[in-house]
Amino acid sequence: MKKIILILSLIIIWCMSVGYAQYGKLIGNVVDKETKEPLVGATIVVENTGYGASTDVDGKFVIINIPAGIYNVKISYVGYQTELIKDVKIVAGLTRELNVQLLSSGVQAEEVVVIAERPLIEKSATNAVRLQTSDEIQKLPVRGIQNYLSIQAGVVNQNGTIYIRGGRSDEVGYIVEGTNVKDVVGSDDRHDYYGGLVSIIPEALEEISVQAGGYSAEFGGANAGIVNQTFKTAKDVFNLTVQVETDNFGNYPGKKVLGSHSYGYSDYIITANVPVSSKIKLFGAFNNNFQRDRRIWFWSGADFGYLKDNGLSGGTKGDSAWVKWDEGNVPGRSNNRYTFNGTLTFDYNPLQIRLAGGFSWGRNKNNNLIRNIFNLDRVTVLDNSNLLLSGKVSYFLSKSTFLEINVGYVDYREKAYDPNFGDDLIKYTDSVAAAEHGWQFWSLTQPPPNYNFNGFEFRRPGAVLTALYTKDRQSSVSGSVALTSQMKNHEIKIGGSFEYRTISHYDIDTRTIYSNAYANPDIVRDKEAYARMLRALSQVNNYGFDEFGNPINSGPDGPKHPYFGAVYFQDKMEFDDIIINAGLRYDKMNLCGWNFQSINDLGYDHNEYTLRTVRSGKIVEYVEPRLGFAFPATERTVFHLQYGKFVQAPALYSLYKSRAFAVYIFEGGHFFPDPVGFNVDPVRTTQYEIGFSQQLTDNVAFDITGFYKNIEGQLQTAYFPQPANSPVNSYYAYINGDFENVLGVELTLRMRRTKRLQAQFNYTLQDARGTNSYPNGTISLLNTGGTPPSMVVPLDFSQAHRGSISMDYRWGKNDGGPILEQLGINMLINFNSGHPYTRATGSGGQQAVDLGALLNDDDARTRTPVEPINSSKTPWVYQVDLRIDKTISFGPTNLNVYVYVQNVLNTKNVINVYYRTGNAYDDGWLSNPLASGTTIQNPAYGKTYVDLYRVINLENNQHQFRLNGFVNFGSPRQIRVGARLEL
Amino acid sequence: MMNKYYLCKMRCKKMQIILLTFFTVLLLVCSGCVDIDNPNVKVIDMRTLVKFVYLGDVADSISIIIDGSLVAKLEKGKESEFINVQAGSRKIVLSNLAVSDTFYQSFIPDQKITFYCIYNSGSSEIINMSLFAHPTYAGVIQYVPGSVLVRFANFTNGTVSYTVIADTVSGAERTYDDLAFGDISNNGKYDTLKIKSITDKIIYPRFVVLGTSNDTIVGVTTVSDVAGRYTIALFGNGEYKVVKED
Repeated sequence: MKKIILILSLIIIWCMSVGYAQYGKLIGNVVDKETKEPLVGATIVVENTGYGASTDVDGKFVIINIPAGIYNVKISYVGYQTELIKDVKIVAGLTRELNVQLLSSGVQAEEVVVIAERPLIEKSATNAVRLQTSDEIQKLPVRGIQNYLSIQAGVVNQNGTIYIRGGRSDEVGYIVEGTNVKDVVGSDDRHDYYGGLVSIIPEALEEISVQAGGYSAEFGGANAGIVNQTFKTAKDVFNLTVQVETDNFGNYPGKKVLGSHSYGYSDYIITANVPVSSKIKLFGAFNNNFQRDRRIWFWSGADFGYLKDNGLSGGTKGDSAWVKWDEGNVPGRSNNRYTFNGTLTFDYNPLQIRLAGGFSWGRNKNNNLIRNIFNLDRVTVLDNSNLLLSGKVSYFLSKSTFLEINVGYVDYREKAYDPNFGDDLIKYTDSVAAAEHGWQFWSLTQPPPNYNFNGFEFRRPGAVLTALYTKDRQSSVSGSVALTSQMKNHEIKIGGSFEYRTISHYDIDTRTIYSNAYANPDIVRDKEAYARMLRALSQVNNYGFDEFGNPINSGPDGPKHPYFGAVYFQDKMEFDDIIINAGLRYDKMNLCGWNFQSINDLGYDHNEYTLRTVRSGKIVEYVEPRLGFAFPATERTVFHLQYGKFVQAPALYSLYKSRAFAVYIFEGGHFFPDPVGFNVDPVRTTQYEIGFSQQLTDNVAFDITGFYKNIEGQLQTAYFPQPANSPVNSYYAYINGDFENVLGVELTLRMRRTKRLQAQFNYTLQDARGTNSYPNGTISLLNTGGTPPSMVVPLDFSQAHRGSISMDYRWGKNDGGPILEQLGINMLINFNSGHPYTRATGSGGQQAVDLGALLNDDDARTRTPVEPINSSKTPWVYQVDLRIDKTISFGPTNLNVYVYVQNVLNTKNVINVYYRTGNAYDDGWLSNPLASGTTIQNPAYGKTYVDLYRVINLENNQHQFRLNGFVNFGSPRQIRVGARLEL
Repeated sequence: MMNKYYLCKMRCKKMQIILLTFFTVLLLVCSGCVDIDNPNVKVIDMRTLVKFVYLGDVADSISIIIDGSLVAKLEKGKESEFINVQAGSRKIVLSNLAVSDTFYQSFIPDQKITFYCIYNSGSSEIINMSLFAHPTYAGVIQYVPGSVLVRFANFTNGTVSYTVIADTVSGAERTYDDLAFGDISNNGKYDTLKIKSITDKIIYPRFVVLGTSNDTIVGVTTVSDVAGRYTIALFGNGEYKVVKED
């Protein structure tokens, strides 16, 4: 049996994937309270763990490799009163200092209990580390990782995407339990992009920290910042919590309670601390979250009664439908997710094993458009699952030296499909299959045309909404080894890591599959011929799958296998008046993109629609010095300086396409907003940081940090004209062309709880300028004959001012009387200046009349800037969130009831505007008779057109969303109530 | 000593339970991952249904060979069952005692196609004609379930045109006005098709030779009381055959 256990354990370790520090250090000294003489051999024990140490001849002690968390630390010495210091917070990657003075006692005296307070300034940090603990997270009036990040200094959340210190969204790294869970593929969607692959339950988090650059040599793979998340470790007592939240007070559909709509939000969370034994502890958290409307928009309803199809979109003239939808919720936009996070720890000192895992499965419906209200049955469904397994084994070779091995495995999968036909794509446009669902097609292979009600198109029932079927898989196996040794004041760490990813993707235009098969029955009988047809006619984009969607493991269409290896050496020297963190990192990586010397190397074969001799993979190597200093000038004053070079892969979606996709590009004649990169190298950043932390009083401290970054080699679109004898036509491709400079200052002011009030103020002033905001930011310019920009301009996501104020006022136990006892009020105020945009003019081109003459981000053909790029800014915005909670205790059982309100004032924040007018309410169409007069006077459109335009476009921003992917306003007020029972 | 032994054994059991639980959870979790292994597009053998009708003016039989396989042998005026053939381009050989014709025919998938093989003695070829094709399913917009669709074809060996009229005939369930299908002329090979939809179960058409001073009834037939599509084909020397085409 032992053998089996051993083998299974090895399998776990082997199977699982790059580990980063999830552990902190405790140092200090122990002296006689009266004489101040050091006490040699005093014992320091971290309770309920195997961690401990004895003081040396100078009375000093060091305990390394303690998992992040809150502990009780006991200090004892013969002939002295024992001191128990409670709630000592150990932060991953940082050093916590405890200096203890013991009182001499001739007889055995009672234990002295002291409650530790978290230090206001981190003396050991040589870069800016912003931390939120589980306790702080729990009190916030917002929920979700992106919301927690958004309130941190240096972090910008724009249209749902996170940017740190002006870097692009793909430059943020995400680590969970020491495993890199960053989505290295990224997304070409500029909005609502979260860069982590693993779902996290907020209640499972012990802490979440943001390092906005400047991290030590052991960290890599992310140039702008690293978000490090650590799960809770079970405590030594059994504990169970059950928590329920909802926003549903019977105010659906279309009704309001306290001026707010319900979004069908419900959240069920169970957490359990299970101390299996004194050495084995299990922590688990389970969550089910459902939202009827997963994005929260200001959303107006309307009732136009029966409108008649004018037949202009090809449908039967005179067909009618009742055009009506409710306010508040966008129909067909639900989300349902189940998540589990947990840790299992084995503390067999000197051997310690920590296993952590997470699994999540979710399904959401993806409607955002009013035009689909008659066809909600065919709204695209998106399934997603993610799995994280991580394990860490650390072994103390001696009291001051330990070896740690981290392994991790991540598996992320996603699939977007039509819920009626699932994976069977030929049925998507098969009228026989449609007839079984009661939908009548226009012809054998043609779905019904749209209704056209006074110029506004609505999908008829049965129309195909999943034009693009997609499925993705991204998995990683990673491992790291590090040897850490505390040699007097030097913490030496030598380590290496390796990460191997497997990335597969499949997408195909579903609208052509049946009609092509129908027209070519002899081809679809022959596998090779059919594959060619899918390449040529259905724009299949596949790697890791063949043209038919079958998984494949090798060959030119096999999955992409980028790998990232690193070795590093770092020495953290901690002296009384200076801390130096010096390190050197060597990165070796293979991005697995396509490379060629000459275009002829590709084996371009138009007839077969493929590249015959494409070569992928290029190994690149970099050496990156990292140097940080902290000068604790006094107990209350610390300066820090940091310099470092950082290298990371660009978002790999820009490099990974199918061979057929490359042929489309080389064919020329098509407009590709998102081409592919050849011969692409990693992105490089050099960052300088200088900071100053000052504890003003016992309870108030501030930190001010200035930074400057120079980013080179960001992806840019380039145009490659070809000579007449070239095998390919002129084409567009990504190259390492863009660069960026960011300059900024971050200010953090923290006030420890004083007279019931705890507060924090974060503020960032920054200026991010670059040649482009996105890799394909210049594509439409090139397409209209322009040249790539060589001058830096303010970037789209450069919010000059951004900040948050968080205040928590709370009565403690036995404080405030029966009503106010354990009652807390938490207020969060977020504010930021607007973001840059470019005023422009132009015609609507060939756009349908329901789009008015809205200017399109991705199409510059009809857009002419009327000012230098990004020289206008959207207005300032602010939002107030509030949470009130009350804990009622029944013996050991606590019941916490709470209500939290996001956007208490229901402020309609303008987060985007129309480029033509600079206004969020007027797009310059109806208000300009010269532009819209002809359309309005057309009897096929008329007054109803104006009414539809107002509610669909101006109030609900449908044309803005359809063309540019965002709406103009922030979220309205949302009220949620909940209860948490702690057993 | 014993206590230690049992303590150790208990710990081992606890460890086993934990690991077993762990692997059970792992197994459950892995089975809950989104399934992306299913194929999305499959190689398909699209089929179609073909019926052959042999309309000759001599009493012999015809062999029908598709892609080298004999699929039917038909006597004069007979029709085959619907034969399931591969859609796409097929090589077809039609041969009777006098002639053998080879040609390639493209079959659209999911259809019922009736193929009329017309042979008039003295001709050097068998005229083949796919008169009618329509999808086999009920979802297509043109098809009106419950109705009878009839058309007439003139495959006779002369040059006479015919007029076809569906009118009131004793025994009809309802009275029609004369319903002229129009002239069906003979252009030497086969006639132009005429099609009308009659939304009732039964019709009693009569055939009238055009060009004579008195209408001559050459035949009277009832198509069926079963809804569907029919062709009444005149062939040879004025013989006729009713063929249900779906």
